Amino acid sequence: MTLIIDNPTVEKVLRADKVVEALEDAQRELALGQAVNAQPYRVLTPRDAADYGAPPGTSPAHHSFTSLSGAIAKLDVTCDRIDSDIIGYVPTASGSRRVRFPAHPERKFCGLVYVYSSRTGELQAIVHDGYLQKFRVAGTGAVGTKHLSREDSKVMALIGTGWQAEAAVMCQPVVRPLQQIRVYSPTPGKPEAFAQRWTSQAGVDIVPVASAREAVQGADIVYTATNSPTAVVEADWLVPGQFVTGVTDLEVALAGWERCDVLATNRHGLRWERYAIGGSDVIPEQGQEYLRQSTSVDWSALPTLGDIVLGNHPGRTSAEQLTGMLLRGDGVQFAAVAAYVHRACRDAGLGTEIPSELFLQDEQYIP
Amino acid sequence: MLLLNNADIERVLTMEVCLEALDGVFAEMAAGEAVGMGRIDLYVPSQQQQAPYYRWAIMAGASRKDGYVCARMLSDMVAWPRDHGKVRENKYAQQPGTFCGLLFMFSAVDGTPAAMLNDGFLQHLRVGAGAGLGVKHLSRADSSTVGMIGSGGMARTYLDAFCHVRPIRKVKVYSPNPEHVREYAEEMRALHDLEVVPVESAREAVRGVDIVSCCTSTNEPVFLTEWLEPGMHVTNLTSAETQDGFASVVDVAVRAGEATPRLEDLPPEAAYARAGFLGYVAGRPEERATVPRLTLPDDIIGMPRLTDLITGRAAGRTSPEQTSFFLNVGAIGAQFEAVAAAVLTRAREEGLGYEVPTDWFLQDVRD
Repeated sequence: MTLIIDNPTVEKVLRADKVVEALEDAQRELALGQAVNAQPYRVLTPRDAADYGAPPGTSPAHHSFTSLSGAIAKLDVTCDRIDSDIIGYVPTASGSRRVRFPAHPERKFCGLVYVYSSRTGELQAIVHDGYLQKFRVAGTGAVGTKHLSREDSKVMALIGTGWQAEAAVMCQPVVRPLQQIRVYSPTPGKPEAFAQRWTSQAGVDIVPVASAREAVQGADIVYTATNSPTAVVEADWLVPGQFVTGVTDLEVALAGWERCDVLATNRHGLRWERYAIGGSDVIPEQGQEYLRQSTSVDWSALPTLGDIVLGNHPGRTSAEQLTGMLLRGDGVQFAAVAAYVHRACRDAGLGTEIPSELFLQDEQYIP
Repeated sequence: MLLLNNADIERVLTMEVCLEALDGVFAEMAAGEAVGMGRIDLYVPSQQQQAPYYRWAIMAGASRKDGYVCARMLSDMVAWPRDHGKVRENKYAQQPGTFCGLLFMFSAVDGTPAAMLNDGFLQHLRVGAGAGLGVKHLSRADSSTVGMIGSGGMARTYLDAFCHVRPIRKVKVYSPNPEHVREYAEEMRALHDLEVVPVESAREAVRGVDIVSCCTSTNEPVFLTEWLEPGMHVTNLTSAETQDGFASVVDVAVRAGEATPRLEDLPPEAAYARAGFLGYVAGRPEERATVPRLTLPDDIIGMPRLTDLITGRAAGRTSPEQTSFFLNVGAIGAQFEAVAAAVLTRAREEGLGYEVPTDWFLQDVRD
């Protein structure tokens, strides 16, 4: 049977501690060569931004098909996360911001994780990616915290109150005995609403603060969860003993990353390939050029989180070090969480079953 | 979302439709209106004795005119037994005799999933039509004789394609199994109203013909370069069927397109693996060593593409005395999109296939 698993079902079975455990194990397998990522890529078709209700000046706009695939041998899972979205670049004071436009009349989106068994070759499940995506990012962030923050870390600064911030407050307390999360967002009222909504679920006191700087000051862990194309954490706010990570590299000033005594990344070597009708030169590569502006760090030589988990790299060696992790998406993370979700749904009898035979074909049709 | 199986596709996909779709998409690619991504493989140890590796593959393409993106995913349990000193490949999904190859179509207009197709029948016709397109672009317009090496399914489809684009009247056919050759001759005679002559050797099959067609599954050359005659056009199924250096000997050598991404820096887990496709391989070093490798020679990689011929960047045949060669490999992602789009349009018109709720694959959350 092939299972179709939607977001509410994922939400039902997903537990933050299990996600963090699965993602930590995935990092270990990756470092051992027993998990592998394939080249991620996008296929882009130009669109007219006006057709999607985009603000004037939005350019370029494309349909973007993205594929992020990876496999973990011991879980017998290979998966591909596919997104099919309309993406436009909306003008801002400092340049442009990448925005996903709802194209479906009911404002629905298409993001799917295809889960294949590497023991039988069958398509086992197709899973909505929304909830998985949120937790594979936050879960990997928490694995970073577990291995790079001070063990006595009690206070976390959280910049951002969106989708990613929600998962962060669920995952971070799994690895450190947090007593307080200080949350900031530039939108008035949002930090307060976020604190009210999530304090009891996270089991940690969430306190709204008036500025990003105030959040970071005195925090042990600095976590950014915004979609800002420019830095939201300045370098000179960071102090010895802190651990900093976040959803994108751009959210922390370049000098902040440079200042880290120990800087790790969860993976190397994958650059998004782009295949665009009309050429890809017109599409901003937000983030791709950012780190290359600094030559004081050899970005390609950073230790990996997997090496630190395995003990091949010492990671943090003193309480005074400033540590950081560049958090990148990859297929292995999706494989780890999707394998866990699929197993949990199968065991609990959840999801919509469709016959596997629909996806198989016999010899007469194989050239 | 429409599900189409091979039987549905067989009802609407003819060689004529397939040739028209490929003709169209190569013109679109030449004009920058369609793009494709070559094949990427992911190899995972399976712990299965009869198939020690699992291989997952993906390729994709998009066309602005069609308004679709198509991703083809292959999922195979694979083994590479040695047979009389040669390496064969066995593959299956679920159990020997069944296979998993799927085309996923997404709308580039609103992002929603449009269809899922089994790939077997379509792939069969697509390969044949590709060779037909090579004949159309490169062979002498008056080509009327074919030397066919091989008598299996692809030899049938290739001949069908040739008959659509050239006034074929005679075929000489050779394969090692005389019974297969006899059946082939009878069938093709009746189907295309041609003279079909079984011959004793590959040498004899190709002597004096206008079009040489290699349709074998061997990993060894079946057409020797010294057999090339003035005016001849040669086409194939795999690059192994002609001898090394063949592309440099013929006057006009063209390949369908790039078959796989060519990366400047391969990460350590990646290699140009079986059939020269970029592969990301998990496993212990001794396991990884069992995965076949193929580095294509520079004269193959450097061959002009069919799109170069269409735009005039590369010269085609300019005299009847010239020899020509079409390497029927590459640009596969875009080809699948074009043929699948043609199938989908016709299947919808005829009310074929099985509708599943598109809502299963849509979500209302977005990170």
